[in-house]
Amino acid sequence: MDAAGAIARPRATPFWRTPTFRRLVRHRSFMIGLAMFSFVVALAVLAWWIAPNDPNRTAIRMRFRPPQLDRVFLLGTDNLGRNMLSRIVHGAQLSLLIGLGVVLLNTVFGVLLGAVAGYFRKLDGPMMRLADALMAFPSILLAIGIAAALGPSAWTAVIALSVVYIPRTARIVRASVLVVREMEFVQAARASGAGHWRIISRHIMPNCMAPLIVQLSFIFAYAVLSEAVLSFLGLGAPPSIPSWGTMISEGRTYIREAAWLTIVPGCAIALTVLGLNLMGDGLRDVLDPRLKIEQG
Amino acid sequence: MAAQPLLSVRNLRTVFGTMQGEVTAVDDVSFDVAPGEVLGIVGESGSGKSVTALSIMGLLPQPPGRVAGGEILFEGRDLLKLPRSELRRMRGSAIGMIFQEPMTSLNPVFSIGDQITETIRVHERIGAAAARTRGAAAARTRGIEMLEKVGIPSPQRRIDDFPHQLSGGMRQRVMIAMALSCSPRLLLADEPTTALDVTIQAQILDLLRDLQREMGMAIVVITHNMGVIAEFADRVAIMYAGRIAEEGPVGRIFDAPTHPYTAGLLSSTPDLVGEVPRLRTIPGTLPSLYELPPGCRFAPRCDRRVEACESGRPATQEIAPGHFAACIRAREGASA
Amino acid sequence: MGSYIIRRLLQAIPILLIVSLISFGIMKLVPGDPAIVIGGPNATAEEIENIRRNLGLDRPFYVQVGVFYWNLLQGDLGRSLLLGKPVLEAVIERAPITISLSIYAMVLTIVFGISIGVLAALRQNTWIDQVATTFALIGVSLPNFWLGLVMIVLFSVHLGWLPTNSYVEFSDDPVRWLRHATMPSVALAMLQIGLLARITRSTMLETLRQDYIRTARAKGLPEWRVVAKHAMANVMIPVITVVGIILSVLISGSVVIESVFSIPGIGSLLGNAILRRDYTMIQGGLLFVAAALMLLNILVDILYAWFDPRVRYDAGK
Repeated sequence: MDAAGAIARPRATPFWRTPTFRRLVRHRSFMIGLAMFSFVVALAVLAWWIAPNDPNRTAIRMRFRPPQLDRVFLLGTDNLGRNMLSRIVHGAQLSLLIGLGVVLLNTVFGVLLGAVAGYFRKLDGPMMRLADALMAFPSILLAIGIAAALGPSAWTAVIALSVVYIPRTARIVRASVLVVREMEFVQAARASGAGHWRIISRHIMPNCMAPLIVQLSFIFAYAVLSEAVLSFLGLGAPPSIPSWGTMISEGRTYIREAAWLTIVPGCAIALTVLGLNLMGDGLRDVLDPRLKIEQG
Repeated sequence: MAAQPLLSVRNLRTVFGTMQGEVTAVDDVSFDVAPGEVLGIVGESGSGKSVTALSIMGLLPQPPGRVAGGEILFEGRDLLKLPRSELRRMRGSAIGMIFQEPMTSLNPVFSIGDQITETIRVHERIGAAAARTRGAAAARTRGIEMLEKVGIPSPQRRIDDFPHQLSGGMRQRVMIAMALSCSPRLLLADEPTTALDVTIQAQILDLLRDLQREMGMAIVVITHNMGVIAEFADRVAIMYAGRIAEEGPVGRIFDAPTHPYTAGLLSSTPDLVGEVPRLRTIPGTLPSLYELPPGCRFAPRCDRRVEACESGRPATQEIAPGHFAACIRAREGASA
Repeated sequence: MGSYIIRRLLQAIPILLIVSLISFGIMKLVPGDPAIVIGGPNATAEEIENIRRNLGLDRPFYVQVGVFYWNLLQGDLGRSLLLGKPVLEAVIERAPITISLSIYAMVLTIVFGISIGVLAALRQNTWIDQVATTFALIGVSLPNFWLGLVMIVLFSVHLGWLPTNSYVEFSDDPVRWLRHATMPSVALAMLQIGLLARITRSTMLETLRQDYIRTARAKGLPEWRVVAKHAMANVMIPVITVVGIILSVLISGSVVIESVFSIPGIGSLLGNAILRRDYTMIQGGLLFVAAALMLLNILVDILYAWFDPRVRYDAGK
């Protein structure tokens, strides 16, 4: 039996009974953010029920209807008569899925690369050089460059945004690993003969979770924002899939007569990103107040 | 003591607001300091001694901390009732303070000369006559003078150094120079030597003693080290859990402590002379300020306690003129 | 100090190499045959072959890389497929416009970001703090191009205060330039103001807890002096490090903002190149911007080192 494992393993109490959970629930900004984000998630999940009709169905005779208090025309229609409410909720699906994709890729690769760099000293140098070079490119430009090369599609957006942020995630994981690696229970595990992977996965990683979780919530927010930029520039999902960014780009031509075409999708983006940022702030306050300076 | 004391703290109460409620860090503390006298305040960490000094200077961290009662009379004026600008004017010019951590107590981005002359010029500009200088050049000269006085070699060169270029002992000397640059009548020294190497500690104490004699100022030195008190202080007040346990002239208290806590402290400090018996310790630990025992706070750890000790706060008894103890069994003489 | 500068510049070289390699690599990501994509659906086989030869796509990979670096060393960033002129020339032509816009946005960011942050810190937990923090948070959450459009709706269409069409350069008419540049600069700056305010606030709060602040108060310094001199000097140091990042985000944001406001700067040059698949322009333009920003960041690092006496007087440690 691995004595060192018994010391370092995280508690077996269910999450909702831990003091962390209780502190989160009491944190006002976090709960507000959670409410906002959950609202958007609900919209996305229930899209097929909420949407009055197919988001791509054009109806020329109904075009340019301004928003009104009405089940169907709550958010009006656009220049082609497409229902804005439908388009917004379907756009939510896209944004959230892309955000999720970016977060997942970051979790897998960011953790992997960061753990390797932090744990194996010899690989650290060159890996960090590469990371620095990637980070030298301003994030949005790099994403645009990659997306422009790969061609517009939802996958392109996910890949481009992930490439941009994985070095940052890896750095954060690496920083935690560097610290935890020197702690005594790790030395103990090593002394009792545990192999590298066992040490990393069972002892080091559980203690690096806090900054990672905070970073992931900010990445989600960044992904939603950047996806909007990419689709605004025509580099994201093709026009057949409703996307908030594309909607703003399309609405731009009619900004004088039908301002709601641009305003509504932007508010949707702002709501989602704000919710995620509030959650990220709350998580940071509760999980590790020391990060406040670095993250900003 | 016919003359009016320089500093007279009466019934000072300082509280801190915490998530678990309000905590009293200093509970009804009173003591006097005569002009030119050195008073030591001794106690374990958490006994409230630093908080007392900060309360006198008005430097409590304001959101959690506040003075909840009492008076602090300096030269007859109650510092707690002064308008903030008045109090600020007295800081540095009438009352100076030096702190425990020389490594972090100086601003790293300004030269030490800048920081010393700043004190001088601020006080000269607002007419606190003690500075006795006019203009930047004169302030700089005085700064160099002060550095020399505290024993910094080649002060004309070093005055432009930055704090990180100086050792801990040097930085503490600079702190002393800054605090004394306007010749205050009272100096509060909060653990001035605790963070320094043992050899440097002795030097700093010697320096303080020389300066004190030369300038005739009163010093309140706060420490947990009985040795510092023995060397340096005229009188001593021993604090425990926010209250004063015993107060009196150093000689008397060291020879014949009357409060069991004082006795315990002294017997856990080894003598350099004579045979060293097995050191005694005081069993138990300081009580948490959230769960204070009723009555005498030292009672749970005291080997002389009786039932009466747990009911009500022990009254302060005058053992001899100028010697007070807060213990109902004080007059019986302490066990050693 | 001098050795620090040299060290910093030397460190930058390998990174610059990798950065250029990355921009080269981006073009290799184009799926399929780039020559066909560039030629378009109507190109003949001969035209495609020409394109391939012109761009050197028919050579082996390592030769292409070699040619790329060789050209770089001579200052040749390639030739725009659309405009027919060298990328470097096209970029430099438009540089003053983007630079003036960025400077304006930078000034707004620094002035408002720092003041809001300091104000929030000094009035911590009061309503001022809440308002400031909320404002910063919202600023960070808005898509900047959308903000630009909203401002156009509000200030141009409805209120008619500020113009949207055409553009006046700073060198032509500073006052009219100001009117034209205000909305795009605000849109650009909004996110940064939020970021800078948050960082300034937390740095200020942290600094005010330091021992040397307590010493400054114990010396009898007036509170304004404690904050303005002792606290601010220490706050500025980490803030300067953020300035480099802010500049990067500002300039990269101009790609979108310039398109929104029809401003003929480097940003819209790149934006157009993306729309029209002008690959050489994209590659060269990205590299130029990335390299320029790297240089700026080095300058910022040097500035930081100069400000912090612990670094300045310890040169070589």
